[in-house]
Amino acid sequence: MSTLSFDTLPYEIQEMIISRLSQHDLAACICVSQSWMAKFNRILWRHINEHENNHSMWLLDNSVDWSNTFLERASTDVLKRNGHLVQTLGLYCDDGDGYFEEFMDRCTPFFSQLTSAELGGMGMEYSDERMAAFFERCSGTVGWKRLVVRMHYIAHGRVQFGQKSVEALLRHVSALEVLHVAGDTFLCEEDVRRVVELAPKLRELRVMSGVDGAMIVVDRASVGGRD
Amino acid sequence: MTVILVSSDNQDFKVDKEVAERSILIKNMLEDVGESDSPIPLPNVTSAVLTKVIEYCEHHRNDPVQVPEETDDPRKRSNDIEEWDMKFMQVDQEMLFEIILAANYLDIKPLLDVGCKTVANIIKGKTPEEIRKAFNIVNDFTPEEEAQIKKENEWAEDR
Repeated sequence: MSTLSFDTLPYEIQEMIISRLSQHDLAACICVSQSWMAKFNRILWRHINEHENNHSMWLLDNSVDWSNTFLERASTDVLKRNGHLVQTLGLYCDDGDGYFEEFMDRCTPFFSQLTSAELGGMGMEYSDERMAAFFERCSGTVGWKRLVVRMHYIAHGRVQFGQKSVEALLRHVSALEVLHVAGDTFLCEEDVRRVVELAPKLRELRVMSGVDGAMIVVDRASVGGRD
Repeated sequence: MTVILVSSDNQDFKVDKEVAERSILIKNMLEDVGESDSPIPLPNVTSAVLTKVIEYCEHHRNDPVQVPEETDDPRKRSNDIEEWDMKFMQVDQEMLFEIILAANYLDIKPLLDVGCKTVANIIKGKTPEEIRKAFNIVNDFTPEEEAQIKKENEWAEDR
């Protein structure tokens, strides 16, 4: 019987194992050998989570400080080569120091194959036009599957999720399964009805949206319901 | 009711049907043949490995079949292993991989999960050099290449 080693396991099993690791451990894995680099680089890049804030309660993992590092450490060249591997993006910014804007402007042009995005935090400031461009350009061949946008009411100085974003979103919902939107948005009941019409796979829908004091609250069971 | 499983080295193992059916493969085979006493050949599993697998299935014979739904993001899955399973998995690396392969072939998802978690825990917290050592892997990067890759992936490093 030939001796078994990690590298002789079927690739699906290797992936099952490697996928369980944290970003930090994955980074170590791809330094192991040429073949590990070739096999596992796409797993390292699959999920990008950036939490910019000073409050440990938001940290995904207490051992990791996620503040302000992705932008500082990932060069444009590296983003250019690997951006298409990113499938899910989590970006949470609490400080209104432009980090959200900078991250979105610098990184997302390379994220051409996103299927899931979770954006939020008090520092989330992005114009309607640019949000619309993000929805357009980053939804890859598959389209958006999961979108979570949590805008903080404190940061509602300008419109971030306006008519243009809504229109852009509606063009890419055919694969959408989960949509959560909370905050001051222009998403109205009519738009929600259109999302439901255009997204046959939708199984989770939560919209809490208020413009000029008008609030709509929707879930899948009572689409369009006014609260 | 018992069934007879035959390992690749032709050893018979008499086990309760309920225990054997922890393997979805065997469960389906038994459903296909209906009531039958004929032994079930498992040409991909040696007796040493089958002994371990049966030990696992005996211990977990009363577990609910339903596997809790995993999250989409595997990194959010817990790598915690219950105490009995942890002890059970204290075997040499070759046997560990054999158990994983057998669990995959026999379609015993909880055992496959425990095996994968065990290997993931071996990797966890290690440097590239320590990982190479743990799995007997030769470093085929030049020092320059390794430095370059390390630098490019600093964004994912501990900070």
